[in-house]
Amino acid sequence: MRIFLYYIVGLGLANASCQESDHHLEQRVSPLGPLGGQLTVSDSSRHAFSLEAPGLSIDEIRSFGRGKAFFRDNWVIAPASAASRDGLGPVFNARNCHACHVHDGRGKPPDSPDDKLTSLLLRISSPLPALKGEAGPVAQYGDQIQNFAIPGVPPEADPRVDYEEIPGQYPDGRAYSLRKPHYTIKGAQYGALPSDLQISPRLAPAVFGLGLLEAIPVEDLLALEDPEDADGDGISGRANWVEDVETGEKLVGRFGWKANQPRLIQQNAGAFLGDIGITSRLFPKENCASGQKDCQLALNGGEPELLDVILDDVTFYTQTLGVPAQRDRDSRVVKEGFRLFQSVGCDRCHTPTQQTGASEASSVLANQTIHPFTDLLLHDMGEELSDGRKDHLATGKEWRTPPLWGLGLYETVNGYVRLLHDGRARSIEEAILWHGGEGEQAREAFKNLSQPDRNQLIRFLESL
Amino acid sequence: MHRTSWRLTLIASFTLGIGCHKDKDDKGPTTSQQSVVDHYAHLVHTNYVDALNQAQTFKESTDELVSSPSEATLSAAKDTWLAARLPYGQSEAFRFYDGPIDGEGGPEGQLNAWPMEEAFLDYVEGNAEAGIINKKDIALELAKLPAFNEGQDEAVASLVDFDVEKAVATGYHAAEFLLWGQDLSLTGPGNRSYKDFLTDTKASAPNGARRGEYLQLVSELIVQDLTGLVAEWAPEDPNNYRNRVFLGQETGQSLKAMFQSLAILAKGELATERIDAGLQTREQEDEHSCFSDNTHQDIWANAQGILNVYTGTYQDLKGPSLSDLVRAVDATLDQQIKDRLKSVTTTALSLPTSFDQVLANPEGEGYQMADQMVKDLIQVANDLTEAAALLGLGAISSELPE
Repeated sequence: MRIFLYYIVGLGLANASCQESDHHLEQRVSPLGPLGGQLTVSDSSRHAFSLEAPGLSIDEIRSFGRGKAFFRDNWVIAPASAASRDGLGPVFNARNCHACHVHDGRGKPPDSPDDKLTSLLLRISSPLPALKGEAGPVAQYGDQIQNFAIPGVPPEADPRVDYEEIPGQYPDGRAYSLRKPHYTIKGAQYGALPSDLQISPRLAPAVFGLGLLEAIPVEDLLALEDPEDADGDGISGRANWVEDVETGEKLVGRFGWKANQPRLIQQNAGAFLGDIGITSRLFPKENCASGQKDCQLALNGGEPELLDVILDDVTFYTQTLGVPAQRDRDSRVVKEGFRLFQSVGCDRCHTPTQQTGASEASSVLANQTIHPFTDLLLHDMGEELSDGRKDHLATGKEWRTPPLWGLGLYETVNGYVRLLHDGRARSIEEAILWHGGEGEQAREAFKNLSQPDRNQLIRFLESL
Repeated sequence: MHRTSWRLTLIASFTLGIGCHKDKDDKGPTTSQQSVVDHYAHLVHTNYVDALNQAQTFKESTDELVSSPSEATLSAAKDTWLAARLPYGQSEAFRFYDGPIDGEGGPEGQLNAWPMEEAFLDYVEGNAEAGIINKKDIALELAKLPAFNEGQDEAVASLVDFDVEKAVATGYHAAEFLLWGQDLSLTGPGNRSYKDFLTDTKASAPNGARRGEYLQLVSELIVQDLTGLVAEWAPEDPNNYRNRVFLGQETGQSLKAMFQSLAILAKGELATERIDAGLQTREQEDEHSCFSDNTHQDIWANAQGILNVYTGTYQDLKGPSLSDLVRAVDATLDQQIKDRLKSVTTTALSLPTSFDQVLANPEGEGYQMADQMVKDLIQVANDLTEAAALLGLGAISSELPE
C-alpha cells in the first residue's frame, strides 16, 4: 500500500511540470485519517500535547497519571525524606522532565548570550588517540555538558549561544533571514576543554505519540532505507543501529535527534541519567566523569536512584500521550498544501503514513494507521546543519527525520516556535530553508514555488 | 443512547429556561445555575477566611515558640499547623481554572509546593551546615522570601551554592519541616527538638535565632498570601476576581470551571499524584506531609473540599449546589458521586496506620483501602465529567494541567 503510494508520488515528482499528471495526483491525495489513529485527541488548546490517549484501561490510566506526576515533579538532593525522589545530580541540566519538555512540547534555546541554557544541552566529544582519532567522550567531562550542580559540586561549564542573522532571498525576490547559532563554553570547571572539541546542541523535543513510533515494525523502517541511493533520487536514508543496553542486542535507533536510542525506556533512562543525574537499572553508574572528585563523593539517592516502577510509569506516560488531531483537514488550502508538500518531495523523508504492529506497551498502540510524517531514518542534511560529531552510525551531517505531527500547535502550547535540533529556526518556513544535503532538492523546489503556494504548503504543516 | 438524548433535551430546556411546562414551574423552585455560582463564591470566601484565621493562629504560636522555646510551645505550634492544614486542604478544590490561587501570579506554589529540598533550608542528616538558615550572610526579611522560593533570587543562589530554580523555601511544608525536622524514623514523624530554636549553649543546633526567624517569616507569608486570596473573593470589592471575573463571566463558564476544578483535584492531583504515586513507589516518605505524618488528613481535606463544593456546604454553610443541578438531570449519577466522595473521606480517616506506614506495607489492609480510594476518585472524576456534559457544559479535563 505504502509502496504503491510512494510510487505514485514519485511519478508525480518526476513529472512535476506536467499539468495533467499534477491533476492526476490531486485525485489521489485523499485527506489524512486521524493523525495518531485511535490515540488521536481532539484538543488544540495549550494542553494539546498533555492528554491521555483514549481507550486506556483503569490500570493504564493510573500508570499514565503517575507517570505524568513523575514527569513533572522535581528530583531533590540526596539525602531527603522523600527517598524515592532524591538523588538529583550531582551535575545536571534540569530537575525534572517537564523543565525541558515544556508542556510535553519542545524546549527553547536562549535568545541571548546573557542567559543560561536550560532546555537545550550540548553533547560533546573529542578525537581520541586511543580510538585512532575517532571521537569519544571528553576527559573530565564525559559526553554532555551539565551546566548545573548540587551544592559543593561545581557545574561542569556554562555554555552560551549567540546568533548571527544570515540574509537570503527567494527566486521571486522576497527576502528572508535565518539565524545561525554560535556556541561558547565559559567557566569550564574541570580543566580546559580540548581545542578540537566537537559540540552537538540538542533541544528537548516533544514527547507525545512516541509509543506509536516505537510500535512501527522494524522491517517497515528498513524497507524505506536506500543507503546507496539505488533509485538515484538524491535521497538515501539509513537506519542508525544502536545497542539495547539491557540485552546487548543491536536495534534500529528510533528516538533522539540522531536516532541513537532504540526503545523509549532506554531513551528515558538515558535522559534521567544524562540530564537529571538519576541512576537507573539501565544506567546504574553515576554520571561523574573521571576526575570529578566532588561529584563522585557526593551522596547518592540509592543504587540505583530511580525505582523501576517510576521508570515504567514515566515510559508508559510517554508511550500513551495522545496525538492532537489535525485542524482544518478538509479546507481547500490545507488539501492543496498537502499536495504541494508531496509534489516538492517533502514526503520522501517525512513519510506521511505508517502502520504500527504489535505493541508490548499497550493494546491501544497496536495496529494503528498513523500519520507521523517521519521515516525515523538518518538523512544527510548538509554542511549548514552539521554538528561535525559522530553519534553511533550517524555522521555529523546526518539527522533523523523528526515527526511533524503537532507542528502547528507549538505556538499555542509552548508560546514559541523553535525548530530543528538546536532550535535555531523561529518558524516552519525557516526550518524548511535550513534543509540541505538530501533535503536540498525539496528546499529548492519549495523556494521556487509562488509565494501563495509556499503559504499553502505552510498552512498544511500548521494544520498538523 | 435513548436515555442520554432524553436527558439532553431536558437540560436544554432547563438551562435555557424555555419550553418548561407550567406544572413544572409550579413544583417549587428549581435551583438556578446563577444561584449555584453565587453560592460557590460565598463558599470559597468562607473557606479562605477560615484558612486565614487558622493561619493567623498558627503564626501567633510560632511567635510564642520563638520567644520561649520549649516542649510545650513547639507542641502547640505543631497543633496549630495541623489545624491550619484542614481548611487549606479543603480550599484546594478552588484550583485549576486560573483563579486567584493558581492563575497568573497566584500564590499556590508559594503556599503548598512539594517535595521539599530540606538541605536548601536547614541542616540535614549528613550536612550540618546546609541551608539558608545556616548561611548567615543571607539577610532574612519577609519581602525577600518569595524570591527564595523556586529561586528567582540570584544572590541566594550564589550564597547557598545551590541551583534554586525549583527549590521550595516557603509555605506549609517549609513550616512543617522547620517544626518537625526530617522524618528519618520508620514508625513516627520527624523529631526536631525545641532546642533547635534555642540560641544559648543548650541549643541542639547552631543558628537557632535564624531558624526561629525563618519560621516566623514563613508563617507570616502564609498569612499574607491567604489575606490576598480572601480579598480576591470578598463580596464587597467590585474589582476583585470574584466580582470582575467569576460572577462577571457567563454562568456556564463558571460552572464549567467548578466541575473541572473538582475533576482535576479528584483524579489528576489527589488520586494520582498524591496517593497512587506513593502506592506505586511504596516509599514511606512519598507522601505530601512527610515530616508530620499528616498525609491522611491532607487526603481527607482534599476529598472533603470536593464534597464541599459539590454539595454547596462548608461546615455550617449550606446552599444551592452542583449536586442540585446534577440531581435534576440524573439522580443516580448525583448519588453515586456523593457516595464515592463520602467513602473516600471516611476511608482517609479510618486508615489503620499513618499514610507512610500504609505505603510501606503493600500487603496490609491500609494499602488496599488506599487503592480503593484511588479507584473511587478516578470514578468520581469520570462521573463529574459526565455530569458536566449532561448539563451542556461541554468537555472538561480531569488531568493535571501543564
